[in-house]
Amino acid sequence: MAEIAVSIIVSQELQSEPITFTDALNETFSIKCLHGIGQGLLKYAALFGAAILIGLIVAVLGVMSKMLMGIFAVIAVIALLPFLFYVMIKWYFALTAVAVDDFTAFESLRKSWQLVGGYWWRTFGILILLSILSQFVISIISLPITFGSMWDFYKEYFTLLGKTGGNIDPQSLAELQKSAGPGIAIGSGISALLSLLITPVFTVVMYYDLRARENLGAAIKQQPVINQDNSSERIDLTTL
Amino acid sequence: METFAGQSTHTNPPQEFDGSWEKAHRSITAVACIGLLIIGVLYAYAQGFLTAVFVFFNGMGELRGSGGKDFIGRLTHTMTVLKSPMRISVFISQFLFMLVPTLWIIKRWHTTKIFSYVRVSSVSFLELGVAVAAIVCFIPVSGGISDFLTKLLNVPDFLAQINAQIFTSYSIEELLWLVVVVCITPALCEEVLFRGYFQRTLERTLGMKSLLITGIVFGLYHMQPLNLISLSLLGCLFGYFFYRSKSLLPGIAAHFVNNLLAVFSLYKTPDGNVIFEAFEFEITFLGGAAALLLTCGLLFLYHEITQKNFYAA
Repeated sequence: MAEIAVSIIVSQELQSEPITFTDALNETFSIKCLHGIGQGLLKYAALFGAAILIGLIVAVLGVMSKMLMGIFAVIAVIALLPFLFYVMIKWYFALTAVAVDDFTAFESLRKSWQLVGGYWWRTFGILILLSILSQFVISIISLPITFGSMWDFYKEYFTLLGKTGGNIDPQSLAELQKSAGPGIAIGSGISALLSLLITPVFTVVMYYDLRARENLGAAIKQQPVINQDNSSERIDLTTL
Repeated sequence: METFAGQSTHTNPPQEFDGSWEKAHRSITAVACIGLLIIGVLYAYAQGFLTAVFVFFNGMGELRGSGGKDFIGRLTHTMTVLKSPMRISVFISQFLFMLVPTLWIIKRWHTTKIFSYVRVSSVSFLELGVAVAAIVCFIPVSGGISDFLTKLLNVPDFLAQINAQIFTSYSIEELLWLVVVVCITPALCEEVLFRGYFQRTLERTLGMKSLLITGIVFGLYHMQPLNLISLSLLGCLFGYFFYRSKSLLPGIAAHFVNNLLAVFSLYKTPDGNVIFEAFEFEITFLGGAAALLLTCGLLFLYHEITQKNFYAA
């Protein structure tokens, strides 16, 4: 839900029509909320469904022949993983479509599929790059916070390290590790929160970019050819 | 004035800004963040990769060798083996993956007049001298903060010493190599990236706030939680010199001297005794407070002597 709210805020900012977080939340907890859940359920049902179907076939084959089952299982995994990956990227913008364009669950999946269209590799590359960049930001910010939240753990650990000259017995270390839980949880929580804030930002920007490309493509197709010699006046799609 | 969408609503940028980003009137704040982020990621991964490569080709055999059975022995042995590849990788990656991409980004996105953009301009010896003096006076403060946190956390001495191995030298040749790797290289590359590019670009939209933001980012970027406060304060000081003098040189000089004193303080005889004993002193609270007062006085002096340059710019 927070992802929808952040997507709405970013989308409104991109259109130079800022919106408050309260308004974004109100908008989120409307029908969008159900559509968002719906697209998530459909997406994961389809992905897991494919995996379960393959599993069932493997199980049936297993009843007939173990060797056949083994061969099919290997082939299925090799074929299934790229397929799932392909579909995941194709449906990546479904939630954004719900948040930004008020699509229903089914429509959002179709829209995302359509937008990624011929730009699969480009989308995949940019997503990988942006994930690396955002993870770097998240780790830089969350490192001192995690360190601070684990201060007591580190203090005890260093005290023990100093007392034993580095040779801590495994049992004491295991006991100590139990106390690290809350600190790790806070750190993970901060990372997840930052990720929740950062991911929709670039997802919405990419969604707008893909939407503009789609509109541009449609406009070019509809435009009648007036002057063949005007080939130098091409539309530059590069952003930089 | 600019919108989140990145479309600046201001009029045409000055003519010398002929880069692609400038011509497209995109957000200046965004470009500073994107540029820093790209270079930060590139540098972090490249440096890690280079260290791994150097360790693989030079130190793998030694790394496998024993350092004794106890924890301290093994840790010391690992650090001794790793320090040389780490120094080489830092040296190469700072130039190749920090300085070069920064200059490339400035040229491509902002202007072909790179040196003018990062403000490589001459300053008086007085300005340089006061900046260096301020940093020297600030060392007990930054060192005191780090020491206080280290003691508060009960970090054992042996661990701190092992950690400092990378900056420790045992011969004049090693000392000179460390001066190149730890003093000259970061003073040049980090200053060009953080002050010359990031702060300079942010300054165009955020003014003096850029100094504070760059200082904090400088501290965060080092990924040393115990030194975060002192590094951020140091970053703010370097930023202040840059902001007031409108030149990169005072920051470079101050950064160089700060690192140089750290390297000198860890110059030891082969049996582990510190050579420059003057650097071995306990920082008391009163001493730290006095150093802070002195730093403030010198910063005020710096403020006064840079009035002319500041307002002329």
